[in-house]
Amino acid sequence: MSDVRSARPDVIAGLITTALGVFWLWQAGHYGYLAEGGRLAAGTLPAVAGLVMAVCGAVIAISAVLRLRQSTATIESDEATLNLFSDDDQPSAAPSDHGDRKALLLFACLIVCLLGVPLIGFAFAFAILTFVIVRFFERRSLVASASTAAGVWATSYLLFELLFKVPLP
Amino acid sequence: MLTEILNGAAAAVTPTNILYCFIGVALGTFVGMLPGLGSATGIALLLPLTLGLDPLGALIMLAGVYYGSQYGATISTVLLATPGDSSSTVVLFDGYPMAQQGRAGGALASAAIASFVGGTLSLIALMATLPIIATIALKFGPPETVALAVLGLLSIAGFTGGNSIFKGIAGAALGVAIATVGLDAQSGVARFTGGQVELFGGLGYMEVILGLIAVAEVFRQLGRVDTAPIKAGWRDMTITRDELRRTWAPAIRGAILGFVLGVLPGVGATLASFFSYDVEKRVAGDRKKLFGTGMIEGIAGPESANNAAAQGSFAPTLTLGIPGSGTTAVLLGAFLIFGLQPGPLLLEQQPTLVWGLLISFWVGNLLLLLLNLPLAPAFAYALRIPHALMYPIILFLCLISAYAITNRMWSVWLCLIFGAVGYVMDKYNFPTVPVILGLILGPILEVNLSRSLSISHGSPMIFLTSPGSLALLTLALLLVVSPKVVGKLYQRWQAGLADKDLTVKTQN
Repeated sequence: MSDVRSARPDVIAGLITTALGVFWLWQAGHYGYLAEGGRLAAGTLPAVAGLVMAVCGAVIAISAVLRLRQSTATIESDEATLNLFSDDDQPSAAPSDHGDRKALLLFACLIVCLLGVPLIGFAFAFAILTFVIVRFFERRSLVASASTAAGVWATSYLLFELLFKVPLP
Repeated sequence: MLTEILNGAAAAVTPTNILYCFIGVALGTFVGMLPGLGSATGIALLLPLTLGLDPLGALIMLAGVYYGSQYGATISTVLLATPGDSSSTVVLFDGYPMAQQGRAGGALASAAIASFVGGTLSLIALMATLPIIATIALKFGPPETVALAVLGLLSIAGFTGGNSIFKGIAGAALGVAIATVGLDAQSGVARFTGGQVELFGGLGYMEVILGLIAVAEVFRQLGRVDTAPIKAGWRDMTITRDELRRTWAPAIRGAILGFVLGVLPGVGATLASFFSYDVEKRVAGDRKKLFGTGMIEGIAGPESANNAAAQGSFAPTLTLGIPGSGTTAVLLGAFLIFGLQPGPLLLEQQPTLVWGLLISFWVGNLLLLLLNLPLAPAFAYALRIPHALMYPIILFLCLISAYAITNRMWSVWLCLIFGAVGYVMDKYNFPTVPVILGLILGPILEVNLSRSLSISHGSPMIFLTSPGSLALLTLALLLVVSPKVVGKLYQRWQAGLADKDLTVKTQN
């Protein structure tokens, strides 16, 4: 069963890797694959890297498809046996879906924060982001959220601007 | 050579550098303790803060972070049953049971002493072997350098690719591909820039490393449930005479094993600690059955091995420019940022820096012992900080550190984008360490590939006709297939031992 679970993502990952490799290989052609006399051109190493990615991606995808076919055949014969003895269980929601949604939301918040930096400055933007994360993502108290945000602001200003003399926007 | 060592020692033991070492070790212990962060993340996070220091001071601090985080990871492993770094995973088997029996202090004290022994013995071996490896490496020409880069990439891919070495190799190729973004040094052609001026200088190492390792880790750790650590007080940090007696031999064995494995590119501290645990079980004889219930040997050996391997991994890094582990790949980036090119000429051109750095390892290990023997329970208080409050601060530190590298928001965006890339890679079980290595070795590979093909008038056969290059490429191939082969042989051996046990039990 774990083979099936890992096979499907591997098919997607393999295809993406192959596509990226093919793109890199194709784009490298614009810079030249080889110079005169078999010497290195600007596109040689990118082409080699692209080719390796494309081949590896293809291997990953194909081996995942083969695992999927093998596992499906095994599951079908096992299910025929299991159905005689057990009730159907509802498949549980993939535990990673919640983590992925949270990561996506955090990523979106970070983009908004970075877009806000030119308007309100680095220190304030990240202080607000920290408050939002601690208060609304993590559902902590107002005091904990405000303290953590204040800590972030203080670190930006005292440590980076004053001590390390990093000119923050 | 003795003069150079003494000059290095004099440079390392200045009050300023001892202070940097102390800061590195303390910060490393703290960072290593936080589950999921690890030594590579700690170095990536702290590197931008060291940019204003002199190279030796900065490298001393960062190296301190490396071995400090190895011990910090042990604290969270023993008290929280959550390894702070993969190299401390094996300490969980006996460290946590010891903590549950009220012997957390003994476990941590044994780990600290064993780490010190491992670090000291490994340092002696490193100082002895470094000049020898550097002398051999000086004879390397462009074809050998290309083969060495390929060896480094394939060995890291082999050891970190998990079930699929193709994922590791694809990661390494991605790193090399990313390294080609920007102006080509030889032809001046702007590659993969899309006309964007920001990309002409290429993608910065540190932004990519911070994103792939640190930011991606924050995303990965979202939703982690906090667990309360086992309490260990100051009075608990005592080690009994029996535990001390049982610490020495495993520590010495671990040091030898750790150093030998650490020198091999790609093997790293994690594998060294697992091998050491296995060795301790085997030499324990009848007491083998007690492993997993709180055996001090199961802590001392692996702790010594992982510290010895951490230092041993500096051998290929300093003399060949090939990182021995993922963390030294990040450190290699630090060298390059400071304008230092690790390789055979480093020892010749910067002897004070190299020997000073090595001497600082011993100073750092001593500080680690003095700091952690009495203060590990104090450090452990940090484990009580809820993850929900910790990760926004870590995220902020990652991004502000990225900004501090170039003082441009472009670096922050880059860091964030690669954070997303690293998260997605992790979801699909692609290792990120080969990407980092490909990014760092890509330019070296390209320059030497160009030189090699110029020498051979375009014939790639130069890589096979040059004996050094052929030997290194053969070793690369062996390192690629060896994890699978070793794994299968190990399984067969284990199965054989299990059958033997069963036969003996049946007969009895």
